[in-house]
Amino acid sequence: MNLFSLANFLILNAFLLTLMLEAGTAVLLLAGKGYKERLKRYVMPMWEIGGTFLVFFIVNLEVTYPKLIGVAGYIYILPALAIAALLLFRNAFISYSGYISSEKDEGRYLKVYAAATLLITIITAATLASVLTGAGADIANNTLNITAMFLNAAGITAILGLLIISVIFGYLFYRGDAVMKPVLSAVVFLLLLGIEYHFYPRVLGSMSLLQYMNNSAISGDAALITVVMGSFLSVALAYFIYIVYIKNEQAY
Amino acid sequence: MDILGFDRGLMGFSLGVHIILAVLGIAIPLIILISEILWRRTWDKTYRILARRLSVALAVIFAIGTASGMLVAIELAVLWPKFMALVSQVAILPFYVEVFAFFGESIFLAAYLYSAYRGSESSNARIVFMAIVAVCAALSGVLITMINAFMNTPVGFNIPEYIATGNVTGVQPLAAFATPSTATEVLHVISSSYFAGAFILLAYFAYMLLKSDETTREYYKKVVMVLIIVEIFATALTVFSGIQSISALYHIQPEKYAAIEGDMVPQAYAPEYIGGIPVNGKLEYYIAIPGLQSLLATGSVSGTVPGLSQFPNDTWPPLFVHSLFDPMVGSGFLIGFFLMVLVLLLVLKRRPLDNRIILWLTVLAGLLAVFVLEAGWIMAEVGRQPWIIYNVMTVASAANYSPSVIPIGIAIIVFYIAAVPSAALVIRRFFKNRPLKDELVK
Repeated sequence: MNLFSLANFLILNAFLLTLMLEAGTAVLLLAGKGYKERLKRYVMPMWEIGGTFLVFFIVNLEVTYPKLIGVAGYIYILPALAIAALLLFRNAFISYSGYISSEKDEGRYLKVYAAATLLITIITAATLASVLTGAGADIANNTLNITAMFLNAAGITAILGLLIISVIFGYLFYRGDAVMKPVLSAVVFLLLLGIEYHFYPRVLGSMSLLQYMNNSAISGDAALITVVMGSFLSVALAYFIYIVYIKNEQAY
Repeated sequence: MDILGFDRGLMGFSLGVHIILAVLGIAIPLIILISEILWRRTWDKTYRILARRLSVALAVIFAIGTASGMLVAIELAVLWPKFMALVSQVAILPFYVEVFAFFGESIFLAAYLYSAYRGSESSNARIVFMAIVAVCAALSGVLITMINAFMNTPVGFNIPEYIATGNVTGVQPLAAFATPSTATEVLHVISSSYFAGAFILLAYFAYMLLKSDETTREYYKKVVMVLIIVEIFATALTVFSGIQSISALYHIQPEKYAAIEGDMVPQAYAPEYIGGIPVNGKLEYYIAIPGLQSLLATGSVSGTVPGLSQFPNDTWPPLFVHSLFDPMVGSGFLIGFFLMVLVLLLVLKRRPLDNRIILWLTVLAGLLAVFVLEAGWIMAEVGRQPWIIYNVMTVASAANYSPSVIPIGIAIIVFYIAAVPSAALVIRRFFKNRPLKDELVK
């Protein structure tokens, strides 16, 4: 695995981490089991950061594997547009919920947000699994069999795995006595995924991921931009999290 | 309808909606920044209240705009996979930097909102936060426009070889930041974003001024004044850069220029055609102003302008772009003239903001401004047809012909139709529950 794939993979992980936290939150919101105030306080900035990481991942994917876009864009048009549409829907509801004064409506809006987020998680898990294994994808005809994409061993385990980890992650996170444990468990999960990915850098079942790599001069400059801008924004993000969470936590 | 038509329609519709959210997302941070600075300078409560109330609207618009931006990014990749595959290898860097501008905007907007509602009344940090948001918002517009400029004037790779073999070679990654059309296009897009975004606000506040009572009248008057001053600069810059853009087209995209101006044959001493409908390859029913077109495009009345007959029929853009150009320019000048009258009345201390007719005209001008924005955008994009990347790749060859696009595309259109009015409704409800009167009296 080279450095560019590693960067792309790390960004995917950052997105998956926020998605897992959101999916965990979504399940807790739908189950309606307490922690509502805490949920609201954490979910508010989290959904926006998750969304930005998704865009970051997609554009980085375009930079790193431009030729994959030509293939995957065709095959995965349905799940990709479905995720995009659900995102629009979900962002609308979560932002409305913050500006609605009635408690009852707010709860309802949050539930819609939660349902949309869970759907996004499920579709994302199945799509990622299918991109790796090629389940449901017919490369010769550029088509996708949706049922086959979801209903195969890799798809089902990816969905269940992501959901189970999300729920435990969310539950431990919001119980609040130990923030480190759930974060660590998620990191371990992502590391395992990374090791698997390292030995299996293939997409669509048998194609080598490397054949889609960008071989133009773009890569070097893009790497420089990633490092410079990425560091600047990480500092900004850390500062913001410090103000909102740590200082806020002390005030409680 | 065929799938190519559907792809086009979906992309056009998404961008048409996104552009309204985008101009508001670019203009509102500037107005909030100005209000924050005015508040620190004058300690006039009006400006602090304006900043806080606008920031709520910005938060909602940003949330919907973010989602809509993601949607457009995903649509670009899945509706036009071959286009994105080429852009990714040649001109992706502006797009890539844009992600960071967007990141910066979302982090600092959150920091601003946090500080506005929990921080101290006189915090200087808020000015810094909003300044970063305003810069990042404008930068997002600049960077995306750079991609559009690349589509109009592709550079940075070996084009003949790409057309002949499909191989991408000789890539210069930084070329996409400065194509021949970048400077004029960026200036026009950014100035017109401020122009249209601030005009939407101006129309809203002029309407509210019409409906105001004794307690709120002064507030709305001050807000309208701030917006009028912003508009003076934005409108002047938009008109100036618009003339620059059309003159630039003369050199870089002569077919588009000819279609927009309605020139069927190349000619010297070319008149400016106003109105007119293309009939059998000839423009009919127009008014001509002798020599004006040559003068504007070449700097001399004897200059020669290109005509569509110089180009093969299959690279002609749809001719209706000429019918969009006239009302766009006409409305733009009408708005500019109205603003000049308004400023004159203000300078002469004739109190135009007490005149109900003038306020209604301001609301009307706001609606016209949205029309000008959309017409200008449609003209610019349709005028490049049949190319997605000028003289390199056609829209038809870049498109995704998978029929899966239709059901989900319809769902996206329905979501969009619902999302924008419901955002407006939520903002309205929020303000209704926190009446301006209470904030002013506090």
